Amino acid sequence: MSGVIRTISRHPAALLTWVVILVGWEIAAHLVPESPREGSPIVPSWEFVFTESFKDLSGNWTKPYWAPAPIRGGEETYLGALLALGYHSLSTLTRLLLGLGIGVAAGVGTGLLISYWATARRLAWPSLNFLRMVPLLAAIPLFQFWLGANSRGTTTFIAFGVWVVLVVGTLNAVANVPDRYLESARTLGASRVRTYLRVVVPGAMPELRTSLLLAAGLSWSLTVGAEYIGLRDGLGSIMAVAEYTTNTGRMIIIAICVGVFALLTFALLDRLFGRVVSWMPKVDDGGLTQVAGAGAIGAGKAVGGAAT
Amino acid sequence: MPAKVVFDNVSCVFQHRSGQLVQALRDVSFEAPEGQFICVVGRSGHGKTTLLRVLAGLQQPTGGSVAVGDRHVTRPGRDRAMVFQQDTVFPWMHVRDNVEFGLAAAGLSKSERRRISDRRLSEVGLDEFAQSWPRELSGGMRKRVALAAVLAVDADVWLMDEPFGSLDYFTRRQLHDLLIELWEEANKTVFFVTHDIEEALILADRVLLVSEGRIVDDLPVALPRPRDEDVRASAEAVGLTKRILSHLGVQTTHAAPSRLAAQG
Repeated sequence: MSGVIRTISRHPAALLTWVVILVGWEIAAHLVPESPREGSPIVPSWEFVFTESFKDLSGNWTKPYWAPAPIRGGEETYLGALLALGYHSLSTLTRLLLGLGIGVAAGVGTGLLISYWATARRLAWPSLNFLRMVPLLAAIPLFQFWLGANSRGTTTFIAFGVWVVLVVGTLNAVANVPDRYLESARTLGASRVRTYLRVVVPGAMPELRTSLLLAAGLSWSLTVGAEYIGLRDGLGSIMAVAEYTTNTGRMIIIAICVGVFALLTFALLDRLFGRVVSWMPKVDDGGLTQVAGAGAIGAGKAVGGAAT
Repeated sequence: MPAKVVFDNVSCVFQHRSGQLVQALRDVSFEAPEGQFICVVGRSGHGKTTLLRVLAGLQQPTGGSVAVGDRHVTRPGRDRAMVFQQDTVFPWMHVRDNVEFGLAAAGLSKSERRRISDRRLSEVGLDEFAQSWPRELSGGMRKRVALAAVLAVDADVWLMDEPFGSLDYFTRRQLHDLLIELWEEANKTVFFVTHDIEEALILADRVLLVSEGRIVDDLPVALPRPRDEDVRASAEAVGLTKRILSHLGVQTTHAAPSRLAAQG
């Protein structure tokens, strides 16, 4: 999210892309033929999405308090829609963050352990690589059969998917640490353990960051996929009902929600991990920041401390 | 203490992926007395770096043996420290932590490490940059950090594999002066690999000329120090340059001394 805001503040023209998409959508909504099903336009207009479709979400609010529940004979309300969206978002986010957290810890931990021993690496690599190639979404029914179509099963499934991606990502990241750093550490007298902990692990972090962001993206697919297929709550389950009732407006709302949450997850992870790799060179700034509006300064100051 | 280095019939053979054997070193034998500054000069791919890596213990010879003092070299050790051609300053550590890396590996206390790193950073002119990230330094400054890390572990033998090859001429000259100053003070045995003849004549007590894995000439360099432009333009320096170039197969008859040096 912060990336989106940063991009727009630096390049206001990026807003134009959004305007084009929104206007283009609205035009399409008025041009495409009408749907044979009343209340289910093929391309819903924005007005339809944020009024009728949104209000319709209150059908997913089933509690007997805070807002009328249509399932108990109550009327549809915006408050009910908001509560429903909040409740199901919370369910999804809880599963996702738990699964992602467990998967990251287990994946990076396993990857680092396997990487340390060459024999373990050689033995594990082919099977892990095979696992990575298996389309995880196709494994959802199997996991739900084994562990149940519930939060525990879904969280375990997400953790497993993230684990697979991060074990392989960690193995690659460790393998790609330049040899010159390892050799330099050895010639300075470092033991194997010290070299691994102080050189290999930090040296692997930049590439690991990329794997982590990929795993975060994957975790959203896995969460929504698992909820879509077998759960009764969560954003994925609302999507499943929307598909059953061809409620396109509701599909759009859920897609927007998932997009916003995924961006927030990315931004959070990027910020957290950014601290771990704060040492990384920025885009070739040479450690210098341009001083806006500054004219000439004294020669002594200009070169002060630059002991090259 | 500086240490005597002995190469005894050292050979090193690599097998290329195609199956072809490449002889990087052939029966290399020499002795380097304590405190000598030796430049290993030769064309690229003729065995200079292999010679240095064998001495560092990073490469096992396929024949012969290497000894530093009374110890046979079989792996890297604290008696030899190396500055590499590529940038090996750890970018994830502050400058001070880089300098203290070898000291921490040796188990020195924090206060002792601090005392030594302060001194070494001051010697290389980076005392104000102890808390900087390597990314905030220029290439020349990062080489100074690498030098400080080698100084800090107080190894008997300094190994330098074209350490200044990627730097501009002026920075390189500054670092030559710094290196000579540090070496004269520490009196260590230095092996400095270069393909730059001018650099070798500025630095060396002795030049080992390597060609096709053999030492084809062993030249003492008795030029007075400091070796400024006048010294390097002397008849003796030009004679050395011509002798080196002739071994490298470069025709020198009509070339001016400065151009000869530049061809290195």
